[in-house]
Amino acid sequence: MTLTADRLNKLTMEMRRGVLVLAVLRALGSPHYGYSLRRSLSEIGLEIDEGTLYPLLRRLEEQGLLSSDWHTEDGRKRRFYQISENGTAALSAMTGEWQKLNRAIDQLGEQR
Amino acid sequence: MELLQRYVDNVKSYLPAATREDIGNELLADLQDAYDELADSRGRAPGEEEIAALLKRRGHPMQVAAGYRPQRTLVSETLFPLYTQVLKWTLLAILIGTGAVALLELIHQPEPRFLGAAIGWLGSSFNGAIYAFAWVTLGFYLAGEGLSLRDVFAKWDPRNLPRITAPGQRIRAFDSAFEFAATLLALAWLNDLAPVTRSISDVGVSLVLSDALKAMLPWLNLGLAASLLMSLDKLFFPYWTRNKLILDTAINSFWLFLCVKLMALPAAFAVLWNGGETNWQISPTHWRMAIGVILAITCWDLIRDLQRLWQARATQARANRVGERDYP
Repeated sequence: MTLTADRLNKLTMEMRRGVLVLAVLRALGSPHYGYSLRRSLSEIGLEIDEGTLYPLLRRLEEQGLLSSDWHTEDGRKRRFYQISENGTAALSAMTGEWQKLNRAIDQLGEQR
Repeated sequence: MELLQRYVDNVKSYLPAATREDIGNELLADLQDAYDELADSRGRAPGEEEIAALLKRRGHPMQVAAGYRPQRTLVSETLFPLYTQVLKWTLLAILIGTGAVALLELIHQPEPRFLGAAIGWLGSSFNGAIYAFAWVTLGFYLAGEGLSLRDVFAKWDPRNLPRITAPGQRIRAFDSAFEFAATLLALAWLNDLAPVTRSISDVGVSLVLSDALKAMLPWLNLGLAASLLMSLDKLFFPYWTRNKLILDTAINSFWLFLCVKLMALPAAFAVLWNGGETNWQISPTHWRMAIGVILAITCWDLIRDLQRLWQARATQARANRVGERDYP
């Protein structure tokens, strides 16, 4: 069975889905509103479409990993998100796991 | 900008009341930022076409709203394998239950009509299956995420799993389905035509069984019913286990015995037509040939069963020896 572009895209999306939580939690060490968060992630090469980012922010907030507040900036009402105390603990655990995975994957690469 | 507001209003119409305003305001702020960025890059206010293209990239309002809702399914992903298994066994139980009822009704009819009974059986099975499907699905829906496979199978023991004799070798679904259909047809043929000796005026062509064959009917029905259930079991769990092989060996041995008895019958059946004026009776040679074919198939199945049992025993003994050698 050949790997079609569509299937490859699905596999990549699946892999990214878990990593995005880690990226968002890390990026929200300083407060961001949705648009600015997306831009800052995009600038470092991590593109997330709005349809994924906003529901993800909501979900993380519901899980208590983020907190949010409405502020007015440049005459426009914006919702600012920031990592919470629980989120910091989760981020620390996830970062450890991410590094462990990275090392394992690197070792697999070296064995080839 | 009016287009942006219209878009947001439409998204809001698909959202639950509790989060509608909040999400709507955030979406509008985000769209306004995107609009500003577009205006900056163009050096002018974007036209309607450009705004429409921006919104098209975001997706249909219903699609955007769906992203905020939890992905709810009737049966959760973790419970789905259990759901299909429960559904299969429920449908099998319905087939057997309604079949038993249909058979009892057939036995108590003064002039049994198999076709009517078979249609009735299929109808009640279909009805039962629809209700079962609805109830089982509802049960799993209500159980939802609160019930996990861990809870359901908390007390399972690996030693109680069915011992598959030849791992990886599936019983072909086509073979089991063919066996099921052939057995069902044989059951229909025998039970519908056995009592035809009474009257043939309303039937164009009739088949009359000899008294000796009719006397064997209960035993033939028993064998056919056992074969029917076995073929269903093979369809639902397409692997040989030791118990299934023993049962199949018993069924095939029973059929072997029946075939020997059938072969000894002098004249088994006759076909009548033209209101009984014309008839054709099967010759003993042809009858023995037909039974001989069934006998050969049964013998072949029986030999295969015994071979599988023997191989399973040898594999088990080998595994035990390896276990004792490596971990004395």
